Amino acid sequence: MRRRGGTGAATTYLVVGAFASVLAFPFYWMFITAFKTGHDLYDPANVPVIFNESPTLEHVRQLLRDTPYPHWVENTMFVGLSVVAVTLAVSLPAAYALARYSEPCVRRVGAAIFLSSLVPPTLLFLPLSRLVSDVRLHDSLWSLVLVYPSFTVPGSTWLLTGFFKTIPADIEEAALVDGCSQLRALRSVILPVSAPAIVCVAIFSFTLATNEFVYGVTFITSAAQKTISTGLPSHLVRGDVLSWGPLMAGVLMPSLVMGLLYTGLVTWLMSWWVGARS
Amino acid sequence: MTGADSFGSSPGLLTRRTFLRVATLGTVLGSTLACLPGSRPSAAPSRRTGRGAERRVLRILQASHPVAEYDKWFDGEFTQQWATENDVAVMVDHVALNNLLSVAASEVAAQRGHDIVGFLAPPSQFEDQVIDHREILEEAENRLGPMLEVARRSMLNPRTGKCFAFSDNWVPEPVLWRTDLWGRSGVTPGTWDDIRKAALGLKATGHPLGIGFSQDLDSNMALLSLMASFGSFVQDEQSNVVIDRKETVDAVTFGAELFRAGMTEEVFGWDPMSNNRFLAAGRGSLILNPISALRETLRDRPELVGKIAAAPAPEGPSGRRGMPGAVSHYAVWKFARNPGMAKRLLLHLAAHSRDIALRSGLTNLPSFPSAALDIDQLAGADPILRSAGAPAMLAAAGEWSVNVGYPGYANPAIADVVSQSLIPQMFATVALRRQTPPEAVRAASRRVESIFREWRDRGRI
Repeated sequence: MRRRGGTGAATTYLVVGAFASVLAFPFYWMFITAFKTGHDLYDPANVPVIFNESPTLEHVRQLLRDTPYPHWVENTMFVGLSVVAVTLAVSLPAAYALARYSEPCVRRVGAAIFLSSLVPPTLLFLPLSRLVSDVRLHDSLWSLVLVYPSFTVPGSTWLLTGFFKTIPADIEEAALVDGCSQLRALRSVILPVSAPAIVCVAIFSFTLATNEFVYGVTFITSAAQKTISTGLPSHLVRGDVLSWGPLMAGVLMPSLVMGLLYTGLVTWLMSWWVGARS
Repeated sequence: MTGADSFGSSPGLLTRRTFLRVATLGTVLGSTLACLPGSRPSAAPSRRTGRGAERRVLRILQASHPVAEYDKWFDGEFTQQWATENDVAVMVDHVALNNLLSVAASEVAAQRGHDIVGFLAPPSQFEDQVIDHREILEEAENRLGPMLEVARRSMLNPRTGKCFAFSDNWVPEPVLWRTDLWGRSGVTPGTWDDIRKAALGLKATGHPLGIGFSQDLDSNMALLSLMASFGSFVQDEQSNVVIDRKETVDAVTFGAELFRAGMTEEVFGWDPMSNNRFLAAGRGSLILNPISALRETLRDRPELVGKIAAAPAPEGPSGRRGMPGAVSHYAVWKFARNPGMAKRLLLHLAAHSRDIALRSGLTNLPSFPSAALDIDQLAGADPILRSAGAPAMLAAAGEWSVNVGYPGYANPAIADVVSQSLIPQMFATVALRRQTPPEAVRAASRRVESIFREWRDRGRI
């Protein structure tokens, strides 16, 4: 029995290890590229996955010295958090209505919300440019806060709708019997139970908003107003010259922070949720 | 309080209700603070003079230059000095070259944005949205003498008579080749035939040629150069399609032979960075690229100094002709807020194109040759260019470089042919033995005819 258990554990570690290696490899590649010298990077005689020469901080220095990278990080956080706030403010009541009401018009609205998410940004950026210009938000981060919910809200609404449908209506009805209004029942009963879904939607929206490129590159052109996803290629892809080291350094830093944040947040959330329901 | 009301199982910890209240309050407060005026950097910082009056702001959009120091100088010194002299503020924004057209299209849709956009290929598709730059061209020619034909034919539409951009500089595209690797072959890449002779040996030693057969701009330019040197052209001087001819079949046949002898299938996936990587990695024995690739390679691989040479475009049966790597096309939008200042700045650029050439490491050369008659001396003073034997090549680059669309003018139809990569497709299908050369040329000709017909119907060619 013990031997079988040992074999089982070994198999588990092997499978998990293989998956982890595949998933971690892009981060490793970013890491070594960010700290390799240019010579180490380009010499084909070198083994590409290890440091053949002493690591260097030159690429990080170049990133911080030659580009307004800290501004881009700040802008990315601002846009990401603002979009999350707008998305939750719109998606929560919309999803609640879609989950709780079953009139035909509600279903049609739900379908329309879903369909609106299917139009790609490459088709929309030209008409939206006109809109952004009309509201005088051209070259302003607020243009992204205005436009990004157009693709975060539909997905978030559908995620939340699915979750709300799993919450028994009895809980809500009990709150109504106790004298809560519909809004109070939503706020005091449904939302606390929905915290995992809300955090999931927040992460989903934040990731979509911080990764977006097409709107970002067309609506924002000032260096100081750019986000990471548009600033890095604009300033580190110079014609046919690509600065691999600074580019990877610029991607690695937020990736690690976000990775740790997500992992910590999800772990904390799950432990809280399991504890709360037990 | 039950466990269901608190985080974790310890009583007395933060309750769910308190958490939600704090989180909601935090979100609302954060958003409100962020919304307050002045909490975010403004899009266009106000430019005020010492007396408090608002200064006009001239905004320029252009692609990031391959030489990073050039952008620092252009944005921070050159334009700022001119701005001070003219009591105007100048802001220069950059985007990656691949995104330049999207941003320009977005500005056209919004009818708002920058005053000047610096394109690197003829922006003929925006002809209706830009001012006529003829006045600037005439004034510049009065001051500096005639413009090079390679630049002039890229910015004029003979059909409408409109000058849809203004060029102050251009970028020649020489051959960059490894002298140490080619030494064994006993020839130099002076002609396309020499390249073919050396190709087999170079490939056998693990150092193939790097001439793109892909859908990127470098591939288009390289193969158009090959065609032109064989006497094959997409259009004639009157914008008639003339691609379906014996010279094109010869060029395509030669291209396929060259691929089989000296290249690998990598060239079908060529991207704008491939030339540079190929040379910097030490694998490639020859590429067609502006000399920025030489500088980049020698920065990371100093041991290659003296082993890479720059030469003019190879000579073919019909002569020596090469497409430029880029031609600067500054265009002033019709909706520009300061068109007058924009025109003055463009004249200033032309007048200082020698400085621009120097700061770009001689990647860029003046479109008005008289602005810098000492290009060979300037290049001779540069150790990297001297080591590559580039001075003479750069000084004579205007003689062998021809515009895209040669012997006619660059026009929107030619731009479409390039953007749809019809020429690399024609070469690739033959190289891969999917079509015979005559079949590939006829197929390409039909598609080119269709594009030209469309633009002719629209009155643009």
